[in-house]
Amino acid sequence: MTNNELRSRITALCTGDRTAFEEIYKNLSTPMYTIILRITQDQLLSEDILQEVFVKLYLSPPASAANPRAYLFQMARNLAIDGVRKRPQFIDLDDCENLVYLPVIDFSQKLDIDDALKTLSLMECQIVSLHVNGGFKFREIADILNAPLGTIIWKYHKAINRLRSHLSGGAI
Amino acid sequence: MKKIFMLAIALLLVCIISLPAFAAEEVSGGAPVGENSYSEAAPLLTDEDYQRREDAYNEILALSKKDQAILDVKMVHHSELILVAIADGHEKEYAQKFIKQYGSFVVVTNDIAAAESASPELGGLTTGGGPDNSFNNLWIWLVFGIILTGTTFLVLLRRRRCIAALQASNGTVIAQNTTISAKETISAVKKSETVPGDKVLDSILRKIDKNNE
Repeated sequence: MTNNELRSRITALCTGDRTAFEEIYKNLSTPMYTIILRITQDQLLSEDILQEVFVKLYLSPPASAANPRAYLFQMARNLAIDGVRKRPQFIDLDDCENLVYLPVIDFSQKLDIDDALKTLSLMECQIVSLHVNGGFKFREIADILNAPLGTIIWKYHKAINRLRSHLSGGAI
Repeated sequence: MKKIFMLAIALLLVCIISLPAFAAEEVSGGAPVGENSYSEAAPLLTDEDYQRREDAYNEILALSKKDQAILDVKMVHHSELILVAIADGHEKEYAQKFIKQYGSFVVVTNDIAAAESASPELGGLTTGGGPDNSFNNLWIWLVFGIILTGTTFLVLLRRRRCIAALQASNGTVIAQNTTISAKETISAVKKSETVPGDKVLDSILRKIDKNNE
């Protein structure tokens, strides 16, 4: 769903159009939930956050947002980060942005992309998810994450190379 | 795997194709062709030359009846050579003797048939003796080619690593090769989206209805 299509749906949503709301949910729920889940690594928490985002969307549609798509994903991302912070942790939460998830070393399990994504830092995981799954351009991701464009691009390519290496069994 | 196999086949074909260039069958190496060698002789022989060859042939033929080292004598008319088959180990001795006595048109060999077929060029014949080095290099190059191909095949095969499985969470096979490209990686990330449960939408609608009440 492009920004123009989303903008038209949001306009309809302002009048209480449930059909428009369900169309927005149908198009954005999967990539949004994927990104939230990759940040929180918690299914229940991710579902709660997703619900919160869409309830807020229905109750307060961002009709004036220049980039409503980025606005919604940024809201989802911020809620996810907050959810991770509120969750009991044994690490310094100030370093949450740079949190690295250690891979589960269980050779009986099949490798999949989710395990590979766990080897990325939180920042890298967000960038990859927003670009690949969310369909955002690097400039939009830089605005969402409030980071320099160059950093976003560099981290993205670094993350992709790390994923390739991990999925290739270290052959690369 | 297919690329490795094709490369091995290509290497083997290169070795086989290059074999004829290296295959050689030598006939009695040894003393160099003399100054008056046949290759430098005038293309036309005089009557005197023919007579000399006739006399030499008869003398060597008579000698062969007494000397057991001389196995066979043959006059090759199309090249005006006299081919003399000598027992192993005596080629050099007799070659030098015949050159000195008759000239370079007397050729010592241990295989008259092969010498006769090669006689037009003479390059394959020697007027000197030497140990019989009749040797076929063909099989050595073939073995070398097989070893090279086999070694290359094994080296490339060992570089390939086997991994347990590469599969996206939705069951899609990411790659069947060890190394995957960036494009495949991005495609796998794209395909590994997680769909929220159906109850999520119901829960959202319930909350909206509750808020509207």
